[in-house]
Amino acid sequence: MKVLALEVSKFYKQFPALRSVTFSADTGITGILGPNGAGKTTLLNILATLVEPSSGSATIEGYDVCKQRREVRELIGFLPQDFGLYESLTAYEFLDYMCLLKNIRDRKHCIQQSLEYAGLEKDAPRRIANFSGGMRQRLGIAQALLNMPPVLIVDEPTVGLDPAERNRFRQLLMRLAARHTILLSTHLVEDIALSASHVIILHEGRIRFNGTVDDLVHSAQGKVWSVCLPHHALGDAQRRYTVTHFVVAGASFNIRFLSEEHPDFEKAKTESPTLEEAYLRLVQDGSDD
Amino acid sequence: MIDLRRLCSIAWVEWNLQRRSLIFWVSLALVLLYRVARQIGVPGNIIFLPRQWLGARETSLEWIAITLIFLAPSALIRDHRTGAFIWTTPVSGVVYASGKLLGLWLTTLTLAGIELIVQFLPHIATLKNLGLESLSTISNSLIPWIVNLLYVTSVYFLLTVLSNGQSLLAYGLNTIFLIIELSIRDIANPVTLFPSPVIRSDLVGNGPETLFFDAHLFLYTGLLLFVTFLALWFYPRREKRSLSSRGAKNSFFPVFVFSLSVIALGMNNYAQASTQLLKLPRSRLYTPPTLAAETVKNVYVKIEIDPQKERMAGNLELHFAQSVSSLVFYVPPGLQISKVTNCQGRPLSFNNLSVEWVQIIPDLQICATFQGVWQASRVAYDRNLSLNELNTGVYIGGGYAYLTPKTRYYPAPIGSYEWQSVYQIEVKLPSAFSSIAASPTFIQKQDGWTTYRWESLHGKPLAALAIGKYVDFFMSDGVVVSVAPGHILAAESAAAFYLEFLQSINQLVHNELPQYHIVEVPVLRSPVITGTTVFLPERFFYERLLAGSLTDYLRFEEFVGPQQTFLRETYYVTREWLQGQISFVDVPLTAANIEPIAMPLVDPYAIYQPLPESLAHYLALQLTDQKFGSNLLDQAMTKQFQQADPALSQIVLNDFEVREEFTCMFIAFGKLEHRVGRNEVIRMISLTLQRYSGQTMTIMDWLKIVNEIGGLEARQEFEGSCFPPTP
Repeated sequence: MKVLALEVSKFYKQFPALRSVTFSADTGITGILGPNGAGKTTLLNILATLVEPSSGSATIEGYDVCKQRREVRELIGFLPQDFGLYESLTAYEFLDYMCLLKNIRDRKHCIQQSLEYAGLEKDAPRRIANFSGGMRQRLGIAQALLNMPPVLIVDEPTVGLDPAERNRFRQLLMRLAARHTILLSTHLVEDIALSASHVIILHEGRIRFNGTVDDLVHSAQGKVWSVCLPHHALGDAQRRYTVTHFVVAGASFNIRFLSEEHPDFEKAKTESPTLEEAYLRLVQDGSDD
Repeated sequence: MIDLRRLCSIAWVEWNLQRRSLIFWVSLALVLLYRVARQIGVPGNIIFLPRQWLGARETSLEWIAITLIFLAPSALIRDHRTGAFIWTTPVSGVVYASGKLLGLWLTTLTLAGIELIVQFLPHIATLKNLGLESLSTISNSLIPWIVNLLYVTSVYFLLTVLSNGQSLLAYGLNTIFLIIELSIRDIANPVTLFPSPVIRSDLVGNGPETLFFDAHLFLYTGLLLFVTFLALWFYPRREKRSLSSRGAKNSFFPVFVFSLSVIALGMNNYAQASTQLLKLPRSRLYTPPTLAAETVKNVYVKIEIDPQKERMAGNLELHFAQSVSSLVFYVPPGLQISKVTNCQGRPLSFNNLSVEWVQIIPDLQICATFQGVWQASRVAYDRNLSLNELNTGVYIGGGYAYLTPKTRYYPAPIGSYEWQSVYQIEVKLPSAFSSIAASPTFIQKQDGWTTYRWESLHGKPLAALAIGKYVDFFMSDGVVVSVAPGHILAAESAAAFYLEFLQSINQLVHNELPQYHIVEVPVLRSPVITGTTVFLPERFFYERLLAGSLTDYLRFEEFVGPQQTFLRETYYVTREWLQGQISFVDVPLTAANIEPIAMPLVDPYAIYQPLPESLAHYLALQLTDQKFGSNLLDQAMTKQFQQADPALSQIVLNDFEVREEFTCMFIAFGKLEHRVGRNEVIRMISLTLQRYSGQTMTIMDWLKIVNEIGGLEARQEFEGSCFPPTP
């Protein structure tokens, strides 16, 4: 396995950010999904050698992220969730600098290649200060791709991007997925649905699910219901169930909701779950998969 | 091993980031604003200059140090946002921090380099005069200047590292550091190092100051290494995400030991330089209390010199006209005060304030006994590039002793009384040595000792004396040249060269060339002429004995051409000659025979007593102009007067700005001339010379004459310049 985490825990003082997280990842996109504060960033920072775990161990291609940080850093590309760039440098200058830090020999070729991947060829001579949010994200991924690392760690890459940029970014990741192990952290289910083959759901520092996207969806089979309710009954339904979707249909609502058992509504019928509903089911009930 | 390629790349990027940043341009603007303000003559005592806050010396280095408070931390503060990129690459913490620091150094040097160029621009015309010698002088002064800049930058970097890149904390620590630095009044202070390395390279050159600079350079190179070491050692410990470097680990210990060794060497050198040498730089920065002219009635000095044992001992007796609450004596290096009484035998208490200053609880009379060796460094001086104020008062060593009039050679308070009180200086020497004294009022030989006495009713007599195993050379025109035995072959050519100028001056003032007695004297930077005795620095002789070497004169001729060199030499000799005549006796100066005279560079450091010095300067320019038909005086007056006139009345002199006294006094002449015309000024000078013939003038004497002839109250113009300089 290219990425392996064994019983990884991290405590910030007394607060547990991660609790005995164990998983592995191989070539392809592994989506790490979870609400804000679930511990996704902490997990990725540990894998990226920026933070040391309180207990447990993790390896990248067999190298320990604590004891062999230099080797691990040779093997990874990292796009943090929140990052700054050198505004006064051009995109090319910035990538050239990162090449030198990464000890890349054929800098020109690598820069050209990563610029192409990120779709920034024409913007290379522009100052970063003039870049849009999406271009900055793409420049971030371009620096992560410079040495074409076998493992790419990207943390919430689509936050703040408009739909077109988000779509473009996902396609870029999918292109890379054929040859790289990509750990994609996000709280947007859509990102996972459209790009990841494998998904890990983190909630309150624990893994709630670890498997394929299909397995995740399958896990919610028979737990998603739909029913048509009059307006006045909607509030009651929301109190009793997790409503995942509703649409207005004349004087009533068609709603979709989660329930482990047959709901109290007579006319309720089971529906094929979506990935989001499967995710919400795991996050809301706290049960381990 | 340290990855140099990566290190240099990090430095290069850091430099680029810095020079493209707003803070860099604001810093540059501030430093240039300061420089331009200084160059267009904004007076030094304006409130926003750092010197006003802390009494520090005026220097652009301070301004650069201030801007660096904010500029240096930005290198690390910026990393808060980009750290996740950097610390997922395999670069080590030490390499990264080294690159950052190197980039900062480049930024600092860029900032300072631009400022230096701007500072140098007005002097661009002098570039053509620069030869190899000047380049060496420039590099001598540039190196410590660069070391200081890098040291300050490194300290700021270290403090930023220690504050974990928290901007406010870093700015605060840096500011505290700078305030402490500015508060240290010391030549070794990196922030207040002599400010303009190229233009004012006076503290380097060939004088004993070189030792201070060498020590300074050692000390701050060591500190620079040590501070850099600390910054690079702390950085990986503060930045937990960084990787350690095995190569760096291995080299830390040797660097640590090496830097400590250099610091130790520098401190040792500095301590030696401070205790054994002339201590001029430190004295300049000290403000000694001064005694007013009317306080002291009589001064009696008795000195016994034994060149064989290299010792001197003596006694100073002061009679006060009024009671004085406390006295501070300046004690020349090598001498100690052993006993102080009220002259009736009652001991008075005294304590050492420092090596140089002794405080005494006074009575109406004071007798102070002193002894020791007045030891000066035997260094050849280069008059063209260096100071003239280090003329040694007494040199004792190798069986020779020299007493020259210009400096203080016995322990005494300093103050304007020295120009007004009744004086008697008596020097006793072994008769076995040949001795040459200039214009003593009394000579007595008894029991194997010769006693010389100089007396004056009006200020300190400029006693001059040489003793040693001299060989005399008799020139055809009766001039006697007394030289060290090894220099006899150069006696004639050195004397003839110098006499050529003296002859011209004597012709100019309608004198026959008197029979001069020329005496070789080491330690002097420039000649001293008192009456018919000429003390000629030893370089005049040994330069002529060294095959293939150029004399100072010829070297200068290479730079500026023969005409300017001759003019300049004439001016210097004239000025020294006038100064040496004490009160310019027998110089028939009238408005009629003085015609107004290209300005050799005014040497504002040639200060002993501003009024006579300035008069000598003023008259020397006139005489030189008269001889060569040049207009040096007009040029000098116009330049200095115009430059300083608007601010003249606001100039408040600090003790360490004694060099400005001369300029200020000269400007005062300009201002006076502007008010009453040149002829009137000449009349004033002539009357002064007649009335005070044989005495030392005071500033009050001069003001009285100005009032008598011009009906003017010129106190404001001259008073600020009459404070005595520090020793």
